[in-house]
Amino acid sequence: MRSVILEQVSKKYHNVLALNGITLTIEKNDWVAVMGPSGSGKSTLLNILGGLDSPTQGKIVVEGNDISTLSSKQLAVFRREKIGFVFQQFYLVPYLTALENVMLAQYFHSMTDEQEAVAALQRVGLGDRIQHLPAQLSGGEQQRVCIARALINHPKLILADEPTGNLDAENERIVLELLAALHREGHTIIMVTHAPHLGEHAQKIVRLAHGRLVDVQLSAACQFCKI
Amino acid sequence: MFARILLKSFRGRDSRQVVAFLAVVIAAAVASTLFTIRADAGAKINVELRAYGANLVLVPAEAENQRTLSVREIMAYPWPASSDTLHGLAPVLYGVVHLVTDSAASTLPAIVALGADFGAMRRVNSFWDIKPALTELRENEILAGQAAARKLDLSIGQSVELRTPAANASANFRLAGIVSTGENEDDQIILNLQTLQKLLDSPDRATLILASIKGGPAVVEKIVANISQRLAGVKAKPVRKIAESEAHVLQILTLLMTIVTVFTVVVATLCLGATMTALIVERQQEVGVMKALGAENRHVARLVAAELMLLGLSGGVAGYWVGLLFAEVISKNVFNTYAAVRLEILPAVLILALGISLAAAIFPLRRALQIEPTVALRGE
Repeated sequence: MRSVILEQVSKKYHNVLALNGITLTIEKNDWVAVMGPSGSGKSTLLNILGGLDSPTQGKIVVEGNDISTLSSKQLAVFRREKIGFVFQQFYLVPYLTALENVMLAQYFHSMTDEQEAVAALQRVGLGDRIQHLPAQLSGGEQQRVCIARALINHPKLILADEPTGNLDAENERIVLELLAALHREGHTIIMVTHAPHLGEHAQKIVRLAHGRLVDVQLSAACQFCKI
Repeated sequence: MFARILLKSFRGRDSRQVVAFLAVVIAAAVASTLFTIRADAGAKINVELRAYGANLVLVPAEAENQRTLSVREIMAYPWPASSDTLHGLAPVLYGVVHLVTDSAASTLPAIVALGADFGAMRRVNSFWDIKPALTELRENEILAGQAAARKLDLSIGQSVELRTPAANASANFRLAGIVSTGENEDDQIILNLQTLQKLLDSPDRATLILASIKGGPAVVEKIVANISQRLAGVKAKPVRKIAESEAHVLQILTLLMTIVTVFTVVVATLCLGATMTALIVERQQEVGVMKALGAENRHVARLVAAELMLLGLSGGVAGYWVGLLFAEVISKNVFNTYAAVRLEILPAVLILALGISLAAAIFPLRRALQIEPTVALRGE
């Protein structure tokens, strides 16, 4: 069962070709690490997969939806229905509490359910931090709120852009454990990283360079997931 | 959840939000001040102008061959019962008398005597300056105009005798005060109406009736028309100078108020629009996150518009009270009374403040809808 299909996907910003004819298939419940040097097109690929950006050329099918033809309104619906984002910078709304940040995703999706949002925060180990504002939380805690927000609407696909880029070793371990748990539950995870040791936690490593797909490899070691 | 986001977003803003709030408050306060003053101005200016004398004079009609009016007949006319409309009504009788003092020369000076009810005359002509201040004028007392007193060398407390020209009647009086009006009365003596009527053997007669009507030129014109129909032999003449100056002052005030309000509203709208646009640029990452989480443009538009409406409402309410405070200060200084608290002005001020917010919403809304989540999340 395929979760993501990319056929000859290109993205051009003005005169810069950020992605150049990417063709790639990702199976359901895969955990894929997208790696490559800065400027290789990792984040562009993630943005296009998440419907945050549109390709200049090519076809993208995510969870059965050809998102390359969707309008901006349809893309918004696609994002809230199918995708959970985990950002490197967390991007929590600063004036809302941890609980409200999670409920914000529920609000745009359908209806808010405070109990469910509390449960999501408890799951990421923040049951005692639900009324804290982002500024009152550590980086690791903010990233865990971000993960709770990503999983609250039960998305099929979780897109994580450098999820541990701003975290210390201990918080990195916690976040990776959470992603591994989500993977075990059946979520498909695509994680952008340029740190080789993080790539080893995934099942597959997709390497990009200058916007091109270099290769797809099975990872050498996977501590938290089953291959 | 929408209310939660709205209130927290509204509360948690920085100095830009304060500037935006102040722009609405200032516009609403200016409108509130001017609306309050304008609402009171008619009555207040009316009261001010009433101090400048009668705005309606009744005289014998020219066609009728008579030189005086019947006081009883005029008083029987159904004048407005409320003191809110009829400020004062003073029958006046003029006659020529000779004045005799102890030191009088052989030729007795002739002088115009004005007979009027002292209280009524004071209500109609409250600008008269009487020394010493008197509350009443007794039957055996007279006032002398300041020029007459100087010419005849009269002093307060002095005894004088008034005689009719034919010397068939006379009476003794005490000079109770000196009056200064800046008009004809300065050369006259003033005494009680009934006393002069008796002296001149003209019971119930008056040369003219002075009326001071509140309510503006329209009310005066209505009474003039009614008197012309109901009182034969009487001509009602509005004192147009006073009636028209009242209308003119109100007209200028309204024009000035409109110009100031429009100018303030335009400036406030531009200020609010620019400030809120800058605020949206500052918040573009937040808007980008919302869009990344699946918010459509309608969600963002609703949030921005609701924030501006909340700003408009809160600024409007604050502006109403600030404006009322200014109106009270202005009213106390200009009219020497406080302006009435008019809650009916509040909806008008709120509508204006909301209008400003809606007009100003165009710029930040357009900016918010243009925000692309990828650009916002990259912090560009």
